[in-house]
Amino acid sequence: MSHEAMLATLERDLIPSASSAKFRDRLVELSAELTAELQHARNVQRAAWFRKTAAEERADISREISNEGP
Amino acid sequence: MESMRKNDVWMSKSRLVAIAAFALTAAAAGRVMADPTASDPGSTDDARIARRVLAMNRAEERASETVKGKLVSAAVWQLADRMEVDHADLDREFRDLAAGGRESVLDAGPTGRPTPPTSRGSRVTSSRRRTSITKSCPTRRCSPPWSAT
Repeated sequence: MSHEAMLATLERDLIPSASSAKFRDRLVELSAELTAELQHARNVQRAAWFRKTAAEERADISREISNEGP
Repeated sequence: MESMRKNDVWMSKSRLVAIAAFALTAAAAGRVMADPTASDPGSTDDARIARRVLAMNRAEERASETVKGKLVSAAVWQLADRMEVDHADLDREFRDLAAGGRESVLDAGPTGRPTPPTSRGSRVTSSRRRTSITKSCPTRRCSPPWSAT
């Protein structure tokens, strides 16, 4: 979310406002780095979600098994 | 019974990870939104732009530091650590320019990065960032809490 805000600010305001071409290039590069970092954060979040879901499913299964008494 | 207890512990850990990941981004977002420099519409010169980048960057750095101690997941801890390293690099790079100093990205070589003392091509920087994460924790002394068990 914060990376999204930073990226939006960079792309909307800062990159177009840069007067030096080299500085603008650096900001574009920074924007690409932030995009990669954001993607990594999303991957971590997705992985955590998968682990959580798997744990819930395991818990449900073990609950069902323990309820299947004679 | 034992497996159910383990599952419960595991589930609560998973929830904590999800909450931590959310907190990591949400806290940083809140700080950026609240940062007065981040909404300055009149920044046209490069020093002002660099100051705005620095302000946003520092807010993210603080957010990483704040949540890092509370994290229990290795992946999220590494993400926070990587963010800290990346943003410290960026801070060093933009500090001089923001202050209007001579050494800045404007004095950079063909890649747009500052020249010595440290050459910073983007690929070089990325690999250096990756290695610096492992280098920052070479021993168990500074390892994340879960690795000690």
